[in-house]
Amino acid sequence: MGEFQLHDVRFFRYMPKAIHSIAHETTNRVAVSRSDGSIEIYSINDNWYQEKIICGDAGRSVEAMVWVGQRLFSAGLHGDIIEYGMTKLIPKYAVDSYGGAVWCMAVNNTQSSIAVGSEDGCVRLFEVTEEELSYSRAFKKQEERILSLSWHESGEVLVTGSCDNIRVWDVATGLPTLRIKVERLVRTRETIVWCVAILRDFTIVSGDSLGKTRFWNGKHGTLIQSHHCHKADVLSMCVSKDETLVWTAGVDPKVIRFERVAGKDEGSRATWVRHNVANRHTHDVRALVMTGEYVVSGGVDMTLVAMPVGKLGKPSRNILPFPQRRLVHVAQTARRLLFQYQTRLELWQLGNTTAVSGMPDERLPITQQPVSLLDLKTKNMKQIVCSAVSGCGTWVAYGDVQHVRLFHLPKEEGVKVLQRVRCLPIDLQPAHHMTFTHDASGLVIATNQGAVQFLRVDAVHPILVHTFLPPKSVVHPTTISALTVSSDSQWIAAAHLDCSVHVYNIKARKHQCSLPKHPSPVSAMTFHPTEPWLMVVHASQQFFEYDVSESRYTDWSRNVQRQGLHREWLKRSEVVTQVAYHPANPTQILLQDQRMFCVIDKDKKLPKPGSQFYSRERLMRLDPAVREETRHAFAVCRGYRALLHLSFLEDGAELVAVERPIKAVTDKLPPTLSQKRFGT
Amino acid sequence: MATMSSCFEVCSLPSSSRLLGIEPMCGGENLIVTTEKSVRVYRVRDQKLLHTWSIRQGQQLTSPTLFNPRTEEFIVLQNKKTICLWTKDLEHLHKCTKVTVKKPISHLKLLPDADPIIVFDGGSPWWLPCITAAPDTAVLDLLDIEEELVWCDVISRGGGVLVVCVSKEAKTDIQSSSYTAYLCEMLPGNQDTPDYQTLQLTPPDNTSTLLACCVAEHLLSIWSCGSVCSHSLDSSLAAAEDGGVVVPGNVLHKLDLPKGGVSSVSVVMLGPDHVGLAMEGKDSVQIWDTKFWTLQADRSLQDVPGTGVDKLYRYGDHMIVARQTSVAALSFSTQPTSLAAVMGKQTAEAAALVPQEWGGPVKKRRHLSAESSGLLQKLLDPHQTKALPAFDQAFFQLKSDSEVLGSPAAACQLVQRVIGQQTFWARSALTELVGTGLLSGSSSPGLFERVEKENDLELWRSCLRHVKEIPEASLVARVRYLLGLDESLLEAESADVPMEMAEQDVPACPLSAAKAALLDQVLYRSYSGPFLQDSLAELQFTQVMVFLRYLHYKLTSAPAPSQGHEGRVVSVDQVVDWLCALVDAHFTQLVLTPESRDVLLGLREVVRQRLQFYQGLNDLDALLAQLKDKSPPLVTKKQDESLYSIRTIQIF
Repeated sequence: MGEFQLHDVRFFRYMPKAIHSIAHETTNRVAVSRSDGSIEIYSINDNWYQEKIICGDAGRSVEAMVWVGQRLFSAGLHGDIIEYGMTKLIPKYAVDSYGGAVWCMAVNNTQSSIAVGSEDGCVRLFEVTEEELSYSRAFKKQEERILSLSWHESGEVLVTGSCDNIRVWDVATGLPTLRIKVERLVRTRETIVWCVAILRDFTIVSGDSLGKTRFWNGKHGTLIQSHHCHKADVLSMCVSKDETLVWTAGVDPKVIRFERVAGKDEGSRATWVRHNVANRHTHDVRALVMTGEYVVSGGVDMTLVAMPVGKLGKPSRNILPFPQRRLVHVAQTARRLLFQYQTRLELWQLGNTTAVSGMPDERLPITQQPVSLLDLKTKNMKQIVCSAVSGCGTWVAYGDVQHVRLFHLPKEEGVKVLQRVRCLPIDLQPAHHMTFTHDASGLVIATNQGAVQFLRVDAVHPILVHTFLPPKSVVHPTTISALTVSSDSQWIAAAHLDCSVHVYNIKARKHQCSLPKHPSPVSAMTFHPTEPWLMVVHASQQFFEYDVSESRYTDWSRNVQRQGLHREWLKRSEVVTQVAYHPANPTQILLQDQRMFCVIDKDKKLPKPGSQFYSRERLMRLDPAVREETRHAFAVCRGYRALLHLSFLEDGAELVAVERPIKAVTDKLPPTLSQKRFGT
Repeated sequence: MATMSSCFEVCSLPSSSRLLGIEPMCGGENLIVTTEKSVRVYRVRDQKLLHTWSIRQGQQLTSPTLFNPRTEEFIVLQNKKTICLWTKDLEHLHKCTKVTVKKPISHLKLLPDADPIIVFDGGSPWWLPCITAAPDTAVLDLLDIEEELVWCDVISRGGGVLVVCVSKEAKTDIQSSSYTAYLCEMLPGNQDTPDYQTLQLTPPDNTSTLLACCVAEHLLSIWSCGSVCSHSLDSSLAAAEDGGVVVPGNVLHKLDLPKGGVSSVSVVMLGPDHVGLAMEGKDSVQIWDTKFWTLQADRSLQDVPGTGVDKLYRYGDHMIVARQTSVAALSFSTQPTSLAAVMGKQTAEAAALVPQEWGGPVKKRRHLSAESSGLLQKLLDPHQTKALPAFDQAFFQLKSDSEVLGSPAAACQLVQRVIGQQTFWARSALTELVGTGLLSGSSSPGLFERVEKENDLELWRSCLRHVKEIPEASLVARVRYLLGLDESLLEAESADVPMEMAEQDVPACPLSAAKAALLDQVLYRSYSGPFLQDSLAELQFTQVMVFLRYLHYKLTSAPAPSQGHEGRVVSVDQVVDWLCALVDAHFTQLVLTPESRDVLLGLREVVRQRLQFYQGLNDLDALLAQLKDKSPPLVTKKQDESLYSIRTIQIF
């Protein structure tokens, strides 16, 4: 028992994109924008669960983002300021910035207006109204482009940084009150002030392309202090809430912290002292944001790093750049894999081996190599939001921000033509998640309006059977974060971002029940193969098994909750992205996150909270007698970076693990700043 | 013995003006560097510039600046006729006290305990206070008209000061010049022109010129031919005023001068027995011992910035080197010279010392007790222990003192005594000494020869086992002895090597079992190839043949290299090494002699068979390597780089 043939698949060449900017929202969420224009929203409270992904577009670039309350605005080099709908996850509208490409954007303290710095050298103010953003006025034009922008706390003063100078503006009149000239190192090369901030006491902090962090007196325009700590440009900066700490980072991937030290005597000036240096990144750091407890940084090396600010407390986190939603779908009967890239899909046939091994961890000789069956590119290079493949491997569907597309791959030999199913029903809404039923007769779609639609799949005439909506008590349905359908095609479960889980009965075409609300959102769900049980895993590492027909928790789940989960399990920093039952032996449940997978055996005893929690490798190395004693329900296999997908194949004797080694990704990055090291 | 250590640059000189001299201030702590235009005072240890004065345009300084500690004044000559005096607080040099005299002055000299002395161009020395008090005093010339003053120095002698001036008279007809030394004794308080004596300095050969001089008790002069001569300054030898006594200088040493000759050499006294020497063109400073004229230390100045060596001075324990662009200070130290120190002979104390135990807590070096050392002396002394019983008895007594027998030096000396003793053969004592294992091949020469002379095979075997590091020449000599050994002397011992019947291809052992055993002991010792070959060339040809046959036999019967270590049996690779060395050493003879033919053919046959065996092994090795490549490698999860792989995994 417990022996599987594992297919290690590493030819899913997914390349995540570099981080361009980060914005922090007051409800402890962080919006991270990537170089392809997509924006990911993480919820810090929920273990950095990736709640939403707003897909990018070919013509859209994001240079700066701001949160105004719960609303997200972004602006980029295409010259538009875009507001996004947080439910539908598409741009609501775009407002022209009237000045060409937008380099920087900032919102004032009262969240009433946004200042936008653009290519033509003008700072423009936009009023934030209930419905939309309206243009207010423009400041006096200056010659160079405005590269960085910061509001004073009072909202009356603004400071901008551009090439060779820093200007302090009076917001009421729109005129510059002070101009600080930043010297050039080489006469022909201008010094660019990449980031600027103004503190309460009118101290201006600036980071420029010479690598210097400078502190200026904002009232008189004199230099207080200059620190040359970076070896190359300083690209980003953030200031703590109490304005005693400043972090800077740039092309030189160090994040340096400056602290304000009060002068010794009364009345003497405070100095800014360079503090510690954190070396978490390998490439340029383009964005640096201070949330209350963390300093979040991201850049060309694609990883989001959160460093805690206080001395004690949480360790720093590296969030892997892969999306937490499913990118790989398995057609279990047909042994096919569907890879979802940003703008295309690939369908592969898995390889085979006829050898039967005796030794554990032995590599078997491959008799048949994997074969690529399909390479599908989207129209106009639109980004794919979600995709699905049926169990028999003949139906492939994907959805982008506007449409759902369905394709049929006939099974007959010799006919390798993909047929697109043209007449899809008009009511079909754009999808966030989709999945085929087990017998491929239906396609379940989680729409971007928070509803669930069931489509009967047919090559010629697909019909929208029903649209399931959450019960009336929910006024505004939130985005659906997870969707699953049972294998007997009877139940559909949809989990929303407001932590509610609704179960629908397909045959009866109605809402069956809602699970009790848990404070943390659902990250993965699955139905039992035979029983009407729903296994739900939350972002806080808690999991429950719910009997939907009887609307109560199963006995085993109650047992687990009563005993409590082991500390090691709860301490894990990765969110479980997938859960599945063993098809042949449903007492075994497989949970997978990006670094490990775990098989829980319901028959075995649960680990006691105080005992040792071994991983499988360590367990295997122990003495057999000791192993029997310490063996418990959780069998954890570590050592993956990053594991994108793991699931059973049809008979349950084979597992498919799709891994994207992080080293393969980082090897393709552009070269970093060369630094001289001792001895080389 | 002398050593020179750290050298550092004190200051750099401007190339525009010529360095006139470097004088000390405060006993060598500070230096006054005088150029034609300026006077600067530096502190040596941190190269700090303390004072600087420069003169106006159009004037120049003509002598090194002196500092008179008595009056705390600086004295310098300006334009040869003006004496400037000032204290260190003076701001501008032109404001100093000036005294002008009528005749040009060539040197200013100063000794620590006396007044400064002025030496005029004509060679007459005067006390400075006399001249400054009365600048118009008439000064008479000592030198003749054709003579010019080339060198001048002062030393203190007796209560006064002796001024030595060397003048050169250029004779146009003969190319050499003649040199005269004028010695003037000046007593303090003496107001008049002092008396003087002259010495004629003869150059060692006719064409050489005087390069440099320095004076201590003798006048040391270096000539352009390289000779270093010393002239006595004894006033009794010198004659009074007019008659010059020719004093041939003793040629002490011939210096190795570079081929083209040098134009200038700088020499300075570094103490009673040492002088510092620097030659023009070489960037180094040498210290010579004046008693024996040996080079004690040589230091190149290439690590210090600057080029060339112009002049050397010595102040305190530093030699000041004036180079073309900088001034460097070189610290040196000299020890009194003695012949023993120069030659490097060891003192006799070492033999009586006992080696120290390193295992436990550090103990002091123990010397032998008086009684034991007395016994030791008695044993060593041929007169005291003339006969064997006396020797044995003394030895027995000495044996009880374990320290003596623990000392290798004592053991070596005793062994030497025993070996050297022709009248009796102290076998038991020697056996004991050899058994201690303290002897080595180099410390006891002649041991084996003596033992062989006595034909004492047991002792011989014991020596071979216990004496460490026998040189190859000695090994070969042992082989020669064995091969020439009479069989009757050998006892019928149980042979280590079994005798084999001569089969068709396998050669028989040409030596008797006992001899073979002994020879094995010799062959077993460690050796190194090149030395062995040289020594084997000494063997006689008949012996070579016997040896060759034996080695041939050994080649077929000796066990493989990996075996046989514990049993002290000669292994195949050692036999091969000896064979190689032997055949190489006597190659021509072996080629020419007809009787060596069968042995060589037999050897060739054996070697060919072995080579075939190794070729077979090579083929097998190639097959096994292929097998290794074909089998799937054992790859762990972490190393797996392939894009797709299937493996079994056991979860529970």
